[in-house]
Amino acid sequence: MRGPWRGFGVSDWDFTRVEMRGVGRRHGRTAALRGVDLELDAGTVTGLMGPNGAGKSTLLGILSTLMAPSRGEIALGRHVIRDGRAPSALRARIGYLGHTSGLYDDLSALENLAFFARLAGVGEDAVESRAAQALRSVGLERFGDRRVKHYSRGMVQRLALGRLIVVGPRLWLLDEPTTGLDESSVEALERLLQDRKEAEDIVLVVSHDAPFLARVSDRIVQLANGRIVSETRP
Amino acid sequence: MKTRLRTLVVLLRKDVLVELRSREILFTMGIFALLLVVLFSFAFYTDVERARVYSPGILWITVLFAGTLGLNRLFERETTNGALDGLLLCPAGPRTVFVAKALAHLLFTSVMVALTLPLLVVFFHLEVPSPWALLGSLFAGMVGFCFVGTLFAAMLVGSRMREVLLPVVVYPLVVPLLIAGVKSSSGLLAGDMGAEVGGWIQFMIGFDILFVVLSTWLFDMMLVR
Repeated sequence: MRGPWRGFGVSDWDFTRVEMRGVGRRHGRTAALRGVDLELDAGTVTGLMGPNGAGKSTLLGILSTLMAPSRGEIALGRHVIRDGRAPSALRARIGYLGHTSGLYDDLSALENLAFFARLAGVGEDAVESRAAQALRSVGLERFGDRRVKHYSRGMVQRLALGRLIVVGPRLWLLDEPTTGLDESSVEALERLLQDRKEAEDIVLVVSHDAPFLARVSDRIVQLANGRIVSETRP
Repeated sequence: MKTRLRTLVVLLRKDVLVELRSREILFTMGIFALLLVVLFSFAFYTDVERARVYSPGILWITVLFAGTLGLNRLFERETTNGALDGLLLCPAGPRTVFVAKALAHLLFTSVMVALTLPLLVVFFHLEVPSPWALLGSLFAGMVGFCFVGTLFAAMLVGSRMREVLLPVVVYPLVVPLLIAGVKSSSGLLAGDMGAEVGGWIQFMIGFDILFVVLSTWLFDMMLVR
């Protein structure tokens, strides 16, 4: 079994393919998604682009299983979800970085990472080393004891990526991960995505940064008005 | 089960650590409860006999109002930076997160009561013939209130009207608990350990069992967006 899920019996819950089948989602009278079909395979990075209000974040929310589709279904391997209620063991394999960091301001960077590692079921003997390793991989090892509320915007974004690294999900859903990052941090993010590809993870990245997406993605999907309008391979 | 218990402890420890550093919930609840007890003591205290009649109601109103302040802020840490999503994706599942939050609120409310009760006893010149029984009945009432309150606090997490809506939704549900709490405390302060007091405490325990199970079961559904 890969990752920190020993004791949760999640080996049955692993997956190498994610599918959206005819997924639609309405917010009141507004249709955010209108029948989206999308396949994501292990070992690939998929870029998702589109204008504001195209439905990108809604699509990510539905794939994270935290949001229910109004119609259609998603399949994580052989597990089909229609109502946004997924088994916890399956959810544990999903890493979601939205518009917010998902961190606690009053905890230090190391405390945050150790907390999420424990939550993910990492054994107590490995928590500290795993948190420190995640902190190193986002280049924040010198600021581990500093509370998050004293971090800059870019540092928070890097630590938010560290939160996903420490959990080690199969499906990575990243919404605008380059926001606030400087050039070297973007390069580190590109290396991280390359590593995830080699580890046979499934990655979906939403970004308005076309050159960045072209560098990291195996294919780029264009979303407009809740529909997929094009698909290109950079 | 062992893993869920471990996650529960991890979540509780985090809430306590964040609270010790920010002092947002306990400070607000404590100051508010203190103010209520002081104001009520000036408003209602005339003699010892009347004080014994009024004080159970004052005690439970204090628990309810100060507890609601805590409930309003209970999920704020999770929503400020969107940490709730990360918690809901953890292997132990949303129900473990819910129980941990409810227990955290129960802990904060218990600390608030531990600070307030002695003040009430002093200001109202109360004699407490059976302190452990009184604490037990208070605890039984707080368990139900904390679980019901935490459920609706989570449900209203994204609402701009949360602070207004929360008491409107929670108070009608916990009225039976409040009545049972006041009745049992009245009896206990009068030195009555009879069947009537026992009946009210049993009612509270029954309420607790029902709503702990029901709210934990419902939590999963309430968070689907």
